Amino acid sequence: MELTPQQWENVKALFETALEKSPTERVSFIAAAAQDFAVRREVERLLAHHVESGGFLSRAAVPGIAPFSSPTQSQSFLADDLVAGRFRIIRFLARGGMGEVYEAEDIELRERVALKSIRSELLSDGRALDRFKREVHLARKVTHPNVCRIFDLFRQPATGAGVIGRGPVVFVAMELLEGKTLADFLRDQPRLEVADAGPIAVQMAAGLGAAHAAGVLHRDFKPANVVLVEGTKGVRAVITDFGLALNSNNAISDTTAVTGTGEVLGTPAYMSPEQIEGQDLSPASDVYSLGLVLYEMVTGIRAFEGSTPLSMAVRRIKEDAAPPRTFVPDLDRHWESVILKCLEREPKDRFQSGDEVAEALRGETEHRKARRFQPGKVLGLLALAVVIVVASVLIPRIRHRAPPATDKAAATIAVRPSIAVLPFRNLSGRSDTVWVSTALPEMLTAELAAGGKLRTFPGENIARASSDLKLTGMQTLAPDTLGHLRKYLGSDYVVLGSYLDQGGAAGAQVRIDLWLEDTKTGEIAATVSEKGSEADLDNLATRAGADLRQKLGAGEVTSNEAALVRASLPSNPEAVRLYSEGLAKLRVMDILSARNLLERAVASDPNYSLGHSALADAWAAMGYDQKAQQESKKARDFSSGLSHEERLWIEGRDWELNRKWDKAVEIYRTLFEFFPDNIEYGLHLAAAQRQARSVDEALATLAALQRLAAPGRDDPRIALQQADVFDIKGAYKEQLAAAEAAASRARDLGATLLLARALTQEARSFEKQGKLDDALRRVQEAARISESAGDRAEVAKALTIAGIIYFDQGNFPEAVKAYNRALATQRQSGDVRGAATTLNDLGNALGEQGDLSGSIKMSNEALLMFRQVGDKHSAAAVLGSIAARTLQQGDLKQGKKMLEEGLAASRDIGDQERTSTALYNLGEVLRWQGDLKGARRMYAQAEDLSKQIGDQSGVAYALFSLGDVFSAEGDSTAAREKYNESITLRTEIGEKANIAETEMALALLLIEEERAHEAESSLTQVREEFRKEGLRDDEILADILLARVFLSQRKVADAERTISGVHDRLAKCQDFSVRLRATIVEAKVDAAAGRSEDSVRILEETIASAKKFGYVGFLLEAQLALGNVEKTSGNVRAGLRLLTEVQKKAQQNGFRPIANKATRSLKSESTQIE
Amino acid sequence: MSENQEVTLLLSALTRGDEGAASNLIPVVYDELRKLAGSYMRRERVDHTLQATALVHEAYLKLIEQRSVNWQSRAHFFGVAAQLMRRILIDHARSHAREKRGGEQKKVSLDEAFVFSEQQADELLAVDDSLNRLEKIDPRQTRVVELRFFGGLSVEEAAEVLGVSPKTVKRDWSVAKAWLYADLKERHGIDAAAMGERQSAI
Repeated sequence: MELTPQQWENVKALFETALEKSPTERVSFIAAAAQDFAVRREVERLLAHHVESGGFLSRAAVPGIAPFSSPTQSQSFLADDLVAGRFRIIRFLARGGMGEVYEAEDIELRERVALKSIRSELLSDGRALDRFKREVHLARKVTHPNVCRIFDLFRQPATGAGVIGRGPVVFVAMELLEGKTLADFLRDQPRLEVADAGPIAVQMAAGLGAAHAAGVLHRDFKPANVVLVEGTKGVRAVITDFGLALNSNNAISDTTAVTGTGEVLGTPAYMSPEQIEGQDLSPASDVYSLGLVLYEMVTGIRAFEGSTPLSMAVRRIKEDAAPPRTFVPDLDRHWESVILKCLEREPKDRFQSGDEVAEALRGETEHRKARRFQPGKVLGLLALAVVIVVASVLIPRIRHRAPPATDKAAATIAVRPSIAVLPFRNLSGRSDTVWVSTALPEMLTAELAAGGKLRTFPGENIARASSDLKLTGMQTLAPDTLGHLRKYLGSDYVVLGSYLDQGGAAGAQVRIDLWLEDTKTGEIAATVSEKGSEADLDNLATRAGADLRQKLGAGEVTSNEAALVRASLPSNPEAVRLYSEGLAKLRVMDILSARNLLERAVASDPNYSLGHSALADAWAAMGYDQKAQQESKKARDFSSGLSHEERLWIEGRDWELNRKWDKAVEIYRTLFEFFPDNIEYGLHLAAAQRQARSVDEALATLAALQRLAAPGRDDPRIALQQADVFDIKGAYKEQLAAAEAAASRARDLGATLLLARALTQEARSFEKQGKLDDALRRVQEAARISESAGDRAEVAKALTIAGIIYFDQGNFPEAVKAYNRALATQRQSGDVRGAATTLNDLGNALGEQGDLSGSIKMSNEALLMFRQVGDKHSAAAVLGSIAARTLQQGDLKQGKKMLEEGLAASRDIGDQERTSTALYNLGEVLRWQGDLKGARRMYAQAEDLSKQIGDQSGVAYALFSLGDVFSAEGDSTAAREKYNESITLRTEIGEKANIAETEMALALLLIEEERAHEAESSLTQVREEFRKEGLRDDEILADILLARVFLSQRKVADAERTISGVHDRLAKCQDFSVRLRATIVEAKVDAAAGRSEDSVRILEETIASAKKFGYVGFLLEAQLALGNVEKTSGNVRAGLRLLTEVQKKAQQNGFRPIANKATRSLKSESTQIE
Repeated sequence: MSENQEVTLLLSALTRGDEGAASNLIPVVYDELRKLAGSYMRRERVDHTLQATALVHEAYLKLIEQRSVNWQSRAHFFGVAAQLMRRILIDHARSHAREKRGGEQKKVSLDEAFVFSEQQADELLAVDDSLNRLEKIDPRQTRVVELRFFGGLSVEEAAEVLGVSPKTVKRDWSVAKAWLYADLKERHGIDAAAMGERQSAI
């Protein structure tokens, strides 16, 4: 039976629409429109009782309760009533503060008059009535064309009796005026030229002057009390309502009965300071009120702008008015001085009566003969006013009071007024109601954003601002904080507030109090208080939002928009609480808690799109790609009820999470084109463009953001994004400049989180430029700042970069330390992917320190984590690096297994670059295993794929390795061809070290061809190149080949010197294949130097390890060498047996040079080693 | 602290946005009213309706008169005032009902100032009960009823207080009336059409 809020909304909407139909149409309409049975039944129930309920409650519980206007909803008199035996009522005109106004005929004088009834309760005791009579008596004496004539006071005796009886009615007969009040006129036409304002001003001053001369003060002079009457001679301004005026001699007598109506609330807008303070009044008090009215007429704004009459009044006591020329620079100086003299705070400093003002103004208007006031002028203005009102519907009201001169938007993009809702203060201090401080601003923001007339800010930005500016729990903001906030967020208004939620029992009451503050002036533009139940926060927010929208002139939320707002909120209170708590955690980067809460929120409201979207963000922050994508898909699936804007946003995020950057660009571009003043859309567009590698477009988007009006264009995030773009463009100098600009802006704003990000960017640029010390300094500062600001993600990022820098510097212990700190931070914050990446980096650092098994352990852990979060890309990368290190350890079998897994993973995610690398590495393994054919196949595939994706470097690698295969097979022509192709390519792309590597391979061919001299000179050069580049392993390889060259030339001493130099360095060498090659050559040198025993021992060890790990090529090479050593050192039979075995196996595997050497050695008596 | 001072303090707290001020304010003002009711009786006025009206106006004046208070928003004021009115009437009706059942009567009460028939008192309590239930479904509608029925505000005035358009108030009002009407009938067996004829609770 209980309806959900959504159902209730449907009920209301259907009920309203049904009422517009005829009773017969209603039945079929409801049957068609209400699919939900509960909704339908409720609408029918309401409709059934609607007609009967017509008169129900239609009179107030207590007749005569009329807080701010009428004594009752019914009128005192009806048409044709004869009142006081003399006035026949013609029609009801209006209801004012004191009572009602009627048009009537004075049947004695045959004149039309106005009758103003005085609310009986105002005159409930005899003294008040007496006083009132005296006042009217005085006012009657004032006869002036600019003062409404008062004829007399009458009394209509009581009629009826009992419950609905009516007491006696006291009323005043006065001059009937037909026209518009000055207040109405100014509402349509806020600012008048002096030429048009002049005559009205003079008449008002003269009217007041006449009253002053008669000893009467108006006491309530305001535009609503001035009627503009069109006449043949022009407009006549008539001051009305001297009914509230008291004899100036009696000014501070007990006035409660008369002024103590609801009207008091409206009046202070034009009160003089002394009246506000309850002091003695004088004609100068009316002069002050007149000054305020004149000010408003010529500037279009109130001298003391404020959200309420009283707040304006209070400013009046404390402040001087700003000179009107501040707003209207071309205003006549004389007018300005007259107005300011009226507005002196001390009564004695003002004009002393209305006449003095009239005189001063008249002197001036006489001067201005050029433009006399034309009779038709006001009518023209009135007609124009209609147009202006229509045109200004979309312009926020608060702005529309401002003079046009100050509202120049220049050539910048039009910016909607923006409003930031800060977290609310929890007055109860109960921890179980903290969530409301997120929920309410979130709901309120949705209300304000509805219809797109106001610009709001994402909660993340506000959370960042609150953290940076330490705003949490502030109830009021100091002016400088406000200015700061304005610069920081770029918001024109902020909403501050507090709530009191007693929590506990279901249906707990919540009370909220909000302040709308203008960030420019610090003025409180509105205050709003609402109360409701905790279970019904959205309605509370709707009401508060409606209040604020009205104050901001954003208009009402249409029923369509309201439905969209509803859809943007969870459908049940439980989900609201969980979602809000989750969001709050997400914003302080407590991702684990956020994920848990958001999971519960979507469990409670499974169709809540934004809940799924936030959960996707949480998963993404933890690095869980698949989970994030799943949630994001749900967010999209359930987004149909949301606004177009929100749907696009969710779709954009979805493409981002799926790394479909082009699609994301498309969506964000649409959003940014629709809302060019929304920085968030611009920033997301630029980021997606950067990811899509559309560098120039990204820069163009950012340039567009820089053309926004200040302070939006100064958002440090724009420069930060530029730095990012320059980074991928490889423009490191520009990257640095942009990062520095971002840092300086962030410093200005006190935006510490952004400052840290900017410093990290600076560090990246320095690192890329090779200025490692500068980079390190920046990154350490960034880590420190992020840490104190509680941004763990940024801390981890900075520490990781520090690790990389130390790594680059060769300072591995420091690198390991930095990585470990980063890892701890990431583990703490639940950033699984970040932790995995760091683990892999840590593994690399350990590997460099010689701890290969530790390194592989780390990477395996990283691999598990990447798989856990579903990051296949990173998993494939880690597989590759584990394989490489396993291979370095010499474990060909395990390495091959890893490579095959990596290959499958890379193919699975369609990463061709990684696939070709894996193919290439597999080729290497096969070659070492002696499967030359298989190796050639892999290299050829790698070459094809590299060509397809335009990876020149990959092609060069493949060509080089194909050369190696031909070389091992003894086809030196084909090998040389491949090597030369590779060199050409590597020269093109400038890979110096790799060219040297290829030269080294060519030198090996020369050795095989016994062209020792050429080989020696080539190797000497190559070796120097490796030494310069710090490539230790390659330098060792060059030395090994040189030793072989010396051996072939029988320069045994040179060979020995060279190889003993290698021996020391070999201890640090990680690459197992290099060690194998080195030990084989070392053994050969020992043999040549006559140390056969050493040689045999070394070779046997080498053979054992090569066998163990399956390095067939090196095994054959070592066995060939051992055969030869055995044969020459007297162990002939064993030697020959081994050589026969080698010859057979080498032949089988296609290692023709080795087979040939074995054959030659078997045939000849003497054998030369090498 | 005199009650007057207390009212002043509470009012300024209310305008500063302090929590609980409104709910604390009502009983204090209400107390004042009770005393005033006594003094009205001593003056032996006979026109009960006028007395009641005047009394309620005194309540408003109590609020308005606080010159030291900055009423920052009309909503503040009328929200409080309408609630106050509702509470006065309901308490009155309740004690009336209690009296009927022989319960203990307060020494100084507003009873003497308001003239209720038994039926009216019961109806008023029923309306209040239904209104409390409506509050759970649609608090804004309840506010509209409070402002219109207990506060005596017109549609336009209620719209101004609530910061919504008159159209919204009209819609809320018509839904709320139909809902309350149905609820009164179904739950309390009251045919409120008769109430419409009587038109007012007093």
